[in-house]
Amino acid sequence: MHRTWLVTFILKRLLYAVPLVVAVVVVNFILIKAAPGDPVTVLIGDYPATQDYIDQIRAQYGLDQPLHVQLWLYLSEVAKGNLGESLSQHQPVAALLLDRLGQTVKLTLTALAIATVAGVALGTIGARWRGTPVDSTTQGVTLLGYSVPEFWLGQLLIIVFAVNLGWLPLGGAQPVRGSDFTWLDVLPYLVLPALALSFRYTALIGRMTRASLLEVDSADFVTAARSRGLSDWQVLARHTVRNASPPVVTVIGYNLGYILAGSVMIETVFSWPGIGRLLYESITKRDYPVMTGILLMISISVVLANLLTDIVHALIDPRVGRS
Amino acid sequence: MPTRRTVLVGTLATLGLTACAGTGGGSGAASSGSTKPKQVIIVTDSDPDSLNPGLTTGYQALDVNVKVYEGLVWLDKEGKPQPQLATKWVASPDNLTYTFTLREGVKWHDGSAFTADDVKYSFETLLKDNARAQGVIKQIASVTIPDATTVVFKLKAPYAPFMSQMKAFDTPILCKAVYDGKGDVKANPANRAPVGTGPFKFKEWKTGQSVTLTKNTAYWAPGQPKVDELVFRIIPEAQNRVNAIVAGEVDILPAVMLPQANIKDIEGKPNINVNKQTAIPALYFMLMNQANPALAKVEVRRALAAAIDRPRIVTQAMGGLALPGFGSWGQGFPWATNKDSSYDKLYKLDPAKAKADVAAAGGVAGGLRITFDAARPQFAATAQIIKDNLAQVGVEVKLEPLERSVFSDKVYAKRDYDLALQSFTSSGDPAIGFHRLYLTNAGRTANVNATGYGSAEVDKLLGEAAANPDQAERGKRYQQAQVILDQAVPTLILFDELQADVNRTTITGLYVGVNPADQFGQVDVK
Repeated sequence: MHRTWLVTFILKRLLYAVPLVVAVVVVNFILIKAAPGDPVTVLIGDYPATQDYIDQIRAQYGLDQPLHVQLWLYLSEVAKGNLGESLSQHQPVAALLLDRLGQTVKLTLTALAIATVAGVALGTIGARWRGTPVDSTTQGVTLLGYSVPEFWLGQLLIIVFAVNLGWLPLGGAQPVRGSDFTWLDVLPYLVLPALALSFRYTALIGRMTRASLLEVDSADFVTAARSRGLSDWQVLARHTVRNASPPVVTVIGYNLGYILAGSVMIETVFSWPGIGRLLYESITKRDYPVMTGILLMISISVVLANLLTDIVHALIDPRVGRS
Repeated sequence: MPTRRTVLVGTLATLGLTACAGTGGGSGAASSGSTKPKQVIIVTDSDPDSLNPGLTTGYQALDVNVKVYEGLVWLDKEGKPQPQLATKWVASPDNLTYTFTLREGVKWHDGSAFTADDVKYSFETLLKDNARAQGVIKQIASVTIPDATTVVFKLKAPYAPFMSQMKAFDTPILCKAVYDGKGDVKANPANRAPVGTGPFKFKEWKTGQSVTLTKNTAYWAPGQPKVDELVFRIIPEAQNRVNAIVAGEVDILPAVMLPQANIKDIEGKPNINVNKQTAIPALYFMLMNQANPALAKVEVRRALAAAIDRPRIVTQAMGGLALPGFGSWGQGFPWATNKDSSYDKLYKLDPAKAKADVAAAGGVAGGLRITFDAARPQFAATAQIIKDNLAQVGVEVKLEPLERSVFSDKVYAKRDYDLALQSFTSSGDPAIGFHRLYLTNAGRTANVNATGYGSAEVDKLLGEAAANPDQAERGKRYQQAQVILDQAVPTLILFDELQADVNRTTITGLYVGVNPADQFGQVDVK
């Protein structure tokens, strides 16, 4: 009985997601075409090019077709599973994405893990010692984390830890000199970008955890538990955290999209070879197929992350969605 | 499909490796496997679009390609052609026919022999549509190959910079067998795993991270190359490229990848060498759109020229790495520069007089926009100074930073701008890179004079200068044209760029000359 409810729930949500994803692709396609600039001017660089030559190159790439024809061709190819070919790199978009996907997954999941652990810890500490200097300190840290732009924090981390102290590499995903690297050689490269990317979410999760814990803390069942003689830590561990977790899980899951967006800046600052940087480069080169391919992929992962969040939410909170 | 491509590239790379290991007994450094290869790390800012020189004009690809591919010649410090894939060449008395004798015994990186067929195929098929090669391709009437080591070019008209465009930067020679009959050129796996004749062969391309080249042990020049690997490390953020060379993470930071204003963060640092030079003359300039009624008046353009503080731009926007605008051709080609006609004489900095002149010419109603490529910090800084300078003469300037592709569209296709900042490289000869500053351009060709200015006399002089191989005769034409152009100032030359290549002092054998990037056979590590 439990299982059929879950399957229906998932199918329904996936069905709702289809028009959303299509809309994201269509809107992005039209927006980027409406923006000035053109991939052919990037291909030409600073060299003289007559209008005939430009028209010829444009026709080669199918850019001379009317917008709705281009959009229709693109959508019908996407429906067949073909994301097209990069205009600047002359490679299948799917190959480019797969090539970079692993690095972005590694970076964002590490950042998300750091943010979850650190955020929940900070929030719990703040709630446990509410109103004390400890609380004010964690509140201050989270406020700072929420206000500092990631790319600026990234630059700061590079200057301090890579340039001045020389403890960590200043960018890239692995050493350039030598070959045959173990995970120990590669790990230092992940530290600074993951920290920079996680800071904002640590703050967000920390604040949400604290607020949720405090809200639950004033509930009757907590007072009842205390009156049975349980210690503060016992109440926290057995009753409060469990009841305070659904909104925190929601914040963690729903923010995956923002983390992916944040990785565009972080990957550029740290020379991280992931999807975010590919997106940045494809925008400056007006490489339409790569750009829409990445946006499509990001919107699908956000939809999936939200779905997963809802499932977890439903599983830990028996009141959700069973009717 | 993606997997097949990846596998193919991987296989090619592995083949390259095994071939190298198989023949690499000489130096003994790389072949044992356990010893560290002798590496030189060069910084770049993004992945090359493609490693097929026919498909791209980007510097990222160029820097890699000139180590893998070679031209018929290379240019020495004086800009004179020196033998590369050709050992000799003869021009006919009418300068319409050039006959090249090719180097014998040259092998492609796949082991096959280099022949005249490859030269013909490169010019006629692979480079045909490349924007960078267009200048010379358009001049060629035919390419014939009487035998395997002889190539004959027939030109439509005499073309002075012909030899300077036979270098690897403009017209590299590609392997016919790799492309011919292999279907769509754009989808050829060699575009990501090139096969050339140069001192280094392709090893590996980790997208977003690095491109690695390895020693060509069968290279035709004895004793070259001296290092085992060249690695191009991709660092997109400009400040981090500077940090990387200071921290010793990389060995070479080419001038193109260094924001000039950052030079002060590097100079004087230990173990770092900065080579300042005018390798290939390049001009930074301000276009003045004559579609704007105020800018159509020569009096206004002259007044603006006298209001803009060129030395201040050099100091503040370029960190001193430039020579203030001298005249319409700059001063990179002394033989073409007219010393008697100069901006300093005609437009001495004088804001008070400039203000009066602008007012007398009817003023500039509604102010002016200044359009530039937002990705280049030197333009942003220059635009700020110009805004400040023109405010003093009562002309309000609005900054309009744009993305590169939008800039081209607005300035060249739509001509929707007032003032625009840009730079052009000469590519080694004024006829290749500088004529386009002033030639009449009614057809709106991109990257050619978009000011609306046109002078039949200048066009004629430039046409003659392009056709005459005699430098003294050419010089006369340029100097005559300079007098006309300095007076009309359709475009104001702001400065001649100096280049600063930066390297760690452990690197030796770097060639300091016109195109140092294509002379890497001698480079070594201490």
